[in-house]
Amino acid sequence: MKKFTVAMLVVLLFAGGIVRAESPAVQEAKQLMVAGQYPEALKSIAASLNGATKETDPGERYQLLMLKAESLLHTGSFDLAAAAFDSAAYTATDHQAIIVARADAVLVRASPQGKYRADAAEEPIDIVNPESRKKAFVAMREKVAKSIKPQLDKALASPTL
Amino acid sequence: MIDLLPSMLDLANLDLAIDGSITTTKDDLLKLGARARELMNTELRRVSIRLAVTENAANSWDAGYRRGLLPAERDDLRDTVAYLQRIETTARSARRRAIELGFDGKAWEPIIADAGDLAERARAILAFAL
Repeated sequence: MKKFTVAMLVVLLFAGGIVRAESPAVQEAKQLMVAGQYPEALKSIAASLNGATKETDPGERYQLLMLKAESLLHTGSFDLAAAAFDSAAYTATDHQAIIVARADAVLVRASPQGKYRADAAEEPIDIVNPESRKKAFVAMREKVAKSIKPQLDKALASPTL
Repeated sequence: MIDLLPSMLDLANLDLAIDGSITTTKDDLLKLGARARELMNTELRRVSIRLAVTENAANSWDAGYRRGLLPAERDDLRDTVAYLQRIETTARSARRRAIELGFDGKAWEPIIADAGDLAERARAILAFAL
């Protein structure tokens, strides 16, 4: 479990090239997450975000919001996790960081109970685990692309909104 | 069209997150965005003319009385406000997400402004052309 969580944090921080000096607040949250103490991590993150001022580095705020979203996924609060990913996307100033956060929000919303199912006949993919989440991203892209194509042709030919 | 745009933007976002580029969806996204703006502009022109006609009719005089708005016109104006707000919200969201995806979102700005202005005008007619 610990090994998996460490791997998750590495994926999280390298995604979007947002590896940077970590504030004590980010370090504390990550330590709690590595220990599997997600509710405590959420409390720590909430305290840090509540204490944030205009001078707080947006990069730190982004990291805290991403950690919050990941912790919420682990506690099964999927709607709140999607909202936290959205907040992270709003906060980010780095293009790649925005993309990662927004894509996570889109996937979480499309995955009831943290499982993405491209098709009723297919096995659901766990999106809490960052490794299987990558598979879910690919499966979702294929599904959306397939379903959009006929709608796109129709929309482009339509005379109305 | 309005419903499809967010899905198309989601797809482009997934492309970027997975591959680091949106080459596969870029053309479709640009085509859809251009078509959506074209149809939105057509709708905004249509609504603008309709508002002017409604306002003129409401302000017309008949046998010494100002006509005012008929109940059906009031309902129509309320629906129009909601419709314009939907266009504005969609355009605002498309602009923000286009910028997030690395596009120039400026093409959406006139639609956001026009839809907002027209919604305000429709509200004013509802409030004052009793």
